[in-house]
Amino acid sequence: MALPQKPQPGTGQLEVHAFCGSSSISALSCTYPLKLVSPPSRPTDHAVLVFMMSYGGGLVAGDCVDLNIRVRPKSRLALLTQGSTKVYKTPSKSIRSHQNLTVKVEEGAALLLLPDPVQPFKDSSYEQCQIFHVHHSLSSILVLDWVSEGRTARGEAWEFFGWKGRNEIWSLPDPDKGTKKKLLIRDSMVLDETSSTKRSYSDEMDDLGVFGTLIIRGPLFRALGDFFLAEFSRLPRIRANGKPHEQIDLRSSESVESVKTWSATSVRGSVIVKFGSRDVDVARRWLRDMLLRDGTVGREFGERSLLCLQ
Amino acid sequence: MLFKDTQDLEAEVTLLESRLQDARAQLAASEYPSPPSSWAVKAQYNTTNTNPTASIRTSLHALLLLSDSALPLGSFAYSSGLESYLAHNKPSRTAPITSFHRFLKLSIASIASTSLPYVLAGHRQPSTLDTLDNDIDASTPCIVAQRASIAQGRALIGVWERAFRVSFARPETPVSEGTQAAIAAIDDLSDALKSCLEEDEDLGPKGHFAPLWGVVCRAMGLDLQQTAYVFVMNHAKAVLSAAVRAGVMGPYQAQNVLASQALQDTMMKRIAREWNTPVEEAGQVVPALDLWVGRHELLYSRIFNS
Repeated sequence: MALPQKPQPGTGQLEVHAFCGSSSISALSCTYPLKLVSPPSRPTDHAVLVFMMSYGGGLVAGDCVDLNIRVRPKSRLALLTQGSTKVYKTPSKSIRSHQNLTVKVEEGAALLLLPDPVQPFKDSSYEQCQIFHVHHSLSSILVLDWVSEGRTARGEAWEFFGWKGRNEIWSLPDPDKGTKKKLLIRDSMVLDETSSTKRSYSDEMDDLGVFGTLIIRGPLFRALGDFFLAEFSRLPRIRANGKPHEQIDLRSSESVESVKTWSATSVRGSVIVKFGSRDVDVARRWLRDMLLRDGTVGREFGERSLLCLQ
Repeated sequence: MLFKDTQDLEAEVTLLESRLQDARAQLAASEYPSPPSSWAVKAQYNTTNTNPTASIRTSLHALLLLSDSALPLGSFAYSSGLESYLAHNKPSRTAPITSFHRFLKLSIASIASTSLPYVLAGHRQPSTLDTLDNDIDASTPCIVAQRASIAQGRALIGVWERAFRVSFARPETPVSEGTQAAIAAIDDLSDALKSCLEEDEDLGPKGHFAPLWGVVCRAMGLDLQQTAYVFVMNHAKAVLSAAVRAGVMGPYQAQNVLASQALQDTMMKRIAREWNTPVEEAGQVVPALDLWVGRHELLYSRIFNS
């Protein structure tokens, strides 16, 4: 006798389609511990806003979240969180928390993923895999992926067992041209016991408090990508050691301007920004400032899409 | 009579040993034996008899060619982030030598975790070179690192075509299937690079160094362990050579570091760690290094290209 199929815990499905110049949700489902919430949209909004949450504000050891999203042609989706994703202590190194996200962004569609940082606690173990399938020239995505050193109030600094994060962008196969799917970008970070030489990863992170990557791609975000590249090329030149007036310290954190530890580069049709800061809030303000100065995100996705950067 | 017998036997021994060598290489390529325990290369020479045979001689010769710092790959032009690291880390904070040792360790860890899986995959499956080339291009999220890898990879193709190919891919010497596949893969990539227009788009063939290194080593008869070891060793040599020219240490001290047991242990540990890492799971283990290398372009004056 076949048992009725129980839905897998931690899975979610979401589909967004274009509707009268705006976007609307055509399907949404989720199971414990994942929770998807969409606040009512305003008539002026172009994009659908969805919050990814988990009961308890984070993931306990063994939790596995698996979210599948489809953004149909010409629609827009902004995915946010409410507060950092905490990864709690695991009783055993082998029990990890997993978070997988697969998004298909179709022709002319746009995805904005601007979450709060992941905050892995001491002795936690976490693995995340985010895969985006895009039309090679007509889909737009802006993905922010950042991780903090832990509970700074308790003096934690990169003291988890392991952290693995991978972002992949694949081009969708094009049956007309007979092209197969192709890997466009793979950005992968591995911090695990065998990768490090010490008990914590602060050496690998150069004593930063937060490290992040921003991937910008597609027609909607072209101006934003160019803005980051132009700002990067305008950064003050760094003199050889010994010249104090232009010396840049990776660890300084006095003002918004002091997120000096970033780089932007254009590879394979995407702009990749890497940044590090001693302090999460400094990085948050810097990101917000950069996105507001360009204006694309606020204009196309609504001011509320920047909630996680407040 | 007796003399002729000896000659025959010697010829047979040579033949059998070269077949054994091929079979070993195939085994290494097919089922991924355990990572090199310690001194695999030395052990290999100890197990064979004292008479150097033809195939060992060829592989030793290739090994020396590929580990030569005079190999015209232009590696001396790259510091792999050292120059930028020095500019970002005030020398007053710690002693320059201590600071350099930290960098060297992180740099070896990073090159092993990001590139070594591609070297190993190139050696194991030379026919997948075009996919590996695309995937490593996609996985290098930094234009400075990309330029360095592509320049050295294309230089390696150049050296292979202009210098090594004639000796290592002679039609009259029988070669194993794997070697043949490796030679064909380099030819294909080289043709693709030549026929690819510059303005075509940025998704075409690139000629990245790591996977090509694996394939060229296969074509020249190096086994998997030698290939990995020389790759990491050459990286260490390049960083130390850059350190000498950047004035961090003198040439004797650099050789001292190169010869040290500590460096050997670090390298062996890193190779063992990546031995079974599939290329899909290759990743950056030193995130800060991406920042240093990426910000190399901001240096006011530069002596290196990376």
